[in-house]
Amino acid sequence: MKNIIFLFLACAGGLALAQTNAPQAPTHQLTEISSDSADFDLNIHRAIYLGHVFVVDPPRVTMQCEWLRVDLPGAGGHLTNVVAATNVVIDLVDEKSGLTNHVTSDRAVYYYSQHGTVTNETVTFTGHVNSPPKVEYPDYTITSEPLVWDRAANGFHFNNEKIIFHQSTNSLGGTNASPLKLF
Amino acid sequence: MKINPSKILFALGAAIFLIAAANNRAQQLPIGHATDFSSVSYFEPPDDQKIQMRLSGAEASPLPGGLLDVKQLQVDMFNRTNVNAVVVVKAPQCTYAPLAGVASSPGQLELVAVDGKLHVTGEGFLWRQAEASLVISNHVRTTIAVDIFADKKAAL
Repeated sequence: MKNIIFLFLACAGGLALAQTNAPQAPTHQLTEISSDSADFDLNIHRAIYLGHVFVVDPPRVTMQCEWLRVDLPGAGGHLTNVVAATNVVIDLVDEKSGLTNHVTSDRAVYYYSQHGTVTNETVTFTGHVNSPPKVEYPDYTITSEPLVWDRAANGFHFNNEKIIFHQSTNSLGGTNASPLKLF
Repeated sequence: MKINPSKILFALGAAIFLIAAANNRAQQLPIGHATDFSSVSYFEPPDDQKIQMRLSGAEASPLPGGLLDVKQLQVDMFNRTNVNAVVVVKAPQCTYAPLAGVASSPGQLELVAVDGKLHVTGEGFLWRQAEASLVISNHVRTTIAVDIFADKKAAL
């Protein structure tokens, strides 16, 4: 009888160990921000980062800028408003292709909202007349004012876009062509 | 008129208790060298019974100009609904100006949200008590934990 009890306890202990050792799915995603300096207003839960701001939002987004305003998440647990300004550079990894989209702009505004089952999650890039926002692909670059990345739908929305195709090295006579000589 | 001695004692005890309670609600700031001091501020009415912020230190030594050299600074911030602190700021050392409600240091600082969703470190800071404002001057690193199931929870 004692052996049976011992076996039962051993099995129960093993199960408990198995449960504690089982890998648990992460419930939180860590967004990291580094900068030269920062101002926190703890009354309104807002942070402003200044100088060499670098953001890593795994697994798909990295961003650099000179000024960043973040409304810190409350009980809902999700960032809702983020504004980046001055020399904004964002690298977005496309979910489907795995390619990196390189976006540059003067300003970027992240907005997130949840209404019932509908999630709106966008980043709106804006620039100025001589320097509209642009997204660079390996073969071409698209400029658009504004340029909107719909994160929920995983795609870009353009307005009066211009597409600039990159000249490939093959057009100069193939990969074996000698380099251009200036003199 | 006959005076009951037990009633006098009770009244005296009540008076001492009320004075002590009133003193506890005032900010307690060290005059000389002090250990384990704290300074508490409360919300505006009608929540004036609730602590808004507690600034404490393991040691405080007086400096010229009415300043204090505080070791192991800790600032606990509360909201109106929580009994426990929601944000804790810690620094190994700082200079505290009690009248202005300003703390500053060229040293390290750590800010933690007790729910684990925010962690900030940096070097060199200025804390303004009245505005709940914190400026970190150098090497700021922030980690924000975003609830990746927030969408699903909100949809339910």
